[in-house]
Amino acid sequence: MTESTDFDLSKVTRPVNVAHGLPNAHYIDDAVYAKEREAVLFNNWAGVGFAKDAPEAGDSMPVDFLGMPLLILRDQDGVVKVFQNTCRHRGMILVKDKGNIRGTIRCPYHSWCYGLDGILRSTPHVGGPGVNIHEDIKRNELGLFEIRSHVYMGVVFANISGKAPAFEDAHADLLERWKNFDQPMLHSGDDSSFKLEVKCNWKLAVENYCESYHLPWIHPGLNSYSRLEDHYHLEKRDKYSGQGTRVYRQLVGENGQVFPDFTNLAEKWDTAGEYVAVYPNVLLGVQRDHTFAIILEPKSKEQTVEHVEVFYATNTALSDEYADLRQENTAQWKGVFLEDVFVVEGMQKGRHGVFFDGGKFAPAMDGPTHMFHEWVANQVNAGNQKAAE
Amino acid sequence: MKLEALDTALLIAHEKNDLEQLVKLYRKAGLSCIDTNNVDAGCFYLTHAYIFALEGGWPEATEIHRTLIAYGREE
Repeated sequence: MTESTDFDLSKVTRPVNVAHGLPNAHYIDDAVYAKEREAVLFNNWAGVGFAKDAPEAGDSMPVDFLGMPLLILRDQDGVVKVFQNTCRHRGMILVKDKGNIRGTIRCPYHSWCYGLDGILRSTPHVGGPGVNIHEDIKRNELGLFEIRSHVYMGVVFANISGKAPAFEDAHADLLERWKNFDQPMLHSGDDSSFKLEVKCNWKLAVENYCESYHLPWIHPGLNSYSRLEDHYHLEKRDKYSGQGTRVYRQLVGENGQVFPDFTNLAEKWDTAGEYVAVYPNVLLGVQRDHTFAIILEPKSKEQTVEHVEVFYATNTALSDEYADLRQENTAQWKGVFLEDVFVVEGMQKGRHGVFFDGGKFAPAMDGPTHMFHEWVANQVNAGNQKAAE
Repeated sequence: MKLEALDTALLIAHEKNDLEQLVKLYRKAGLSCIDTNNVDAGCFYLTHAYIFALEGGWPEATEIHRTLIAYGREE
């Protein structure tokens, strides 16, 4: 008998004060994990990589996203595109390592070649030795599968199913809220980059990120200047949720050095910082002088890699003069995110408790987290409905 | 270049993934076969020269492509 994975999620979609969180199976069950891969991650705009990893024309970056082979590449016009990294001939992986493609992508198996636009350019010997054409090989039908993609805040978002609304429509609210930050995000390299491997389902990292309730307990260092009452919820049903602070304080280096600000920010951003989980798997943070983006890469139902990149507003911030301050900034964020590791790993272990019922939300404090649960439940329900049709 | 010497040079170029040399050697072999009216063998070699020229973004790709089209081997 096959065990059903269609759990009743109606308790999850109730109002926060009477809702339960997602059932344990959504964190520890392989079948549910597989279902969420399609319904939650592939069917929406998921973060799959960073545009800074393909800075020049021809740069390519293979990515394995939940087993789906993707190729992020920058074309000759400087546009970042995402293709399925699979040859149309025998299904061979096309690009194994990060690098620059000078001409075409040549399949390492039988050397079918694709342009940076994905178009099939040559099919050697398909009609016999030295004959590269055949009436049944129609190159215009055999280009690489392009995956819909969009770059926002340095993150390459991809909608693998191809069925989500356009990114600009799906995230119109956030784009409007953060329109002040619609400017180049500059990255300085290794000193602004780190990753954390955590033993938890990827959703727990989202859930922890988007609420401020835990801050005084888990990040006591923040208490001195950013108290719980200085924070506010960010809740946009079906889109994103998170938290903001009214008392963002710039990092100050020796001699009073601070990072240059983004240009033309509204006054609010003098002291505001906002931290949003862009559903499903991208965590963003914006402040007057730098931003950061975290892609949660699910490795298994109980393992996640957090890829963290910090971005700055001006080239001055990328100069040697700011090297120490950049390092300090990265270290500060890494310290904060490391403080969260035992929490997300502890919640993962807790979800093997057979009597755990998804949990009771704190009505005044857990709104952003509940909103994410509700969204996941809606995605899963929609996936189930589609499967039943 | 004799066949044996060509094979050796090609193996070395393949080993090093030296695209420039691969294009040069395969193109030379291809044109030499065509000169002796061995069109099939010539187009075989030229195909390899073409593919490596495409991969490397070498300008020779255009001329080799034209030759292969002329012999009905490319589009």
